[in-house]
Amino acid sequence: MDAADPFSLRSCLIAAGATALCCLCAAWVLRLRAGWREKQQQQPLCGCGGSGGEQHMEVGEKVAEAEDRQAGGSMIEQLVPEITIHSLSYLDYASLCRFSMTNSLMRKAANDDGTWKVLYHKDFNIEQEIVTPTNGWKAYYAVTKAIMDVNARFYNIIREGSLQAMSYLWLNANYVKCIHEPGGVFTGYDAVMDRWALIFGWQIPGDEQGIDVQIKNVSTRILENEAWVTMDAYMDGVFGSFRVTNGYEFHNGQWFIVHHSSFIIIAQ
Amino acid sequence: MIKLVSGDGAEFEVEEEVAFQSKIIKDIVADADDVIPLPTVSSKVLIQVIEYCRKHAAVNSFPLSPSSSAAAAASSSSSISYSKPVSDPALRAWDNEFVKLNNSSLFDIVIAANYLDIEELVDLVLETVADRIKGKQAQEIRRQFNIENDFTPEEEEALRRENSWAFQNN
Repeated sequence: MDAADPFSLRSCLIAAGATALCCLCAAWVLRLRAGWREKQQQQPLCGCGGSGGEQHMEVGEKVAEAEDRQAGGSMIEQLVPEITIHSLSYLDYASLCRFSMTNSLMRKAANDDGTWKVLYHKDFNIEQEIVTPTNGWKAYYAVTKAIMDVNARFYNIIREGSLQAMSYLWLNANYVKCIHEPGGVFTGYDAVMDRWALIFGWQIPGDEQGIDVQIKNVSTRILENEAWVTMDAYMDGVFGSFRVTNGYEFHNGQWFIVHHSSFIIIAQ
Repeated sequence: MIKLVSGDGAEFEVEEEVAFQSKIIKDIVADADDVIPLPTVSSKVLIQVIEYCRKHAAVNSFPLSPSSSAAAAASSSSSISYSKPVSDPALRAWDNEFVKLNNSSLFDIVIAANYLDIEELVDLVLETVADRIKGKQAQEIRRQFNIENDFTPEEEEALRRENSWAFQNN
């Protein structure tokens, strides 16, 4: 954040300083210094927090709220936008969205494009520095999260070995493709479903654990109604580790997987 | 010693290293007077800011002992994350006590800290404010921060739709 401009501050100080000094009187100083000592006694400044301190804090917050309503102190609306935006940079996406729903001024601060860009790079991949999302970073964050969620669901389904869930995730079309290397190329919805039925059937009977799979280095590329996701998948047991590309398409308000290719990089 | 004069005319004499927690004051003292009027800062707020600067000046002037820096390294993965980490655990605990103030007091302090360019204090207060926003519903945030709802019911409904993606579970 930019600091106050020292030059303008200085010229302001010279003017105001003369006035302020004239107004000084000893009584004021004495009274305020006494107040200072009083305050220091009231507020123990040791780091004696602990759970007791937190309980005190709750009561304190309620009192504080009441005081806020009466006192003529500063309100969040009075902060300059840069300060508000700086504060909001500590929030997660959900809190930022809730804050944006409080009023129109806060909405403007909470939808700040720069904040969402930083959050995007923090929560997702940082490969797309040069991307300029057409609808702004908040919208791009939202669609990226939707893709990350559907991609995570794909691997949850593999972990659970649920063929039914897998059949809902794939687009029912003749051009969908599943490439397993080693394994083969499976084209069309029915062939792809048969492939997953075979894979899920490989699991040891009675093994409730499903296939243990971890994904890493996930990165996304999202266009209007289609998205590519690349990642590394590490699987336990007989499968090994794979370099994976998943393709998704947006139909009727929902993302469906249309392409999955998985190439082995480390055999177990 | 440097003399700070609040907007309501109270004078505070502080040591240089305390006053120099503010980059602005450091710049001013370099080529001007030792009496520094701060017309936009009230004495109430200036007292709190000086209290913070005094503590931080004292801690910063003593280098961390090896044991306390090891403790700081061990606790660096805790949930508290400053943009510029305050690494001394005792100082961090002191900071946590310092910000147990009502919201309007915090806003007064952050306005003063921003004006005086005390970066660590700005970060501390703003992270505290953010912690009071986190995880709360819009109505609760409005109540806590005295934010007036200026949306029509139609606009509120549109906002709920616009942000619904953030509240869906996987």
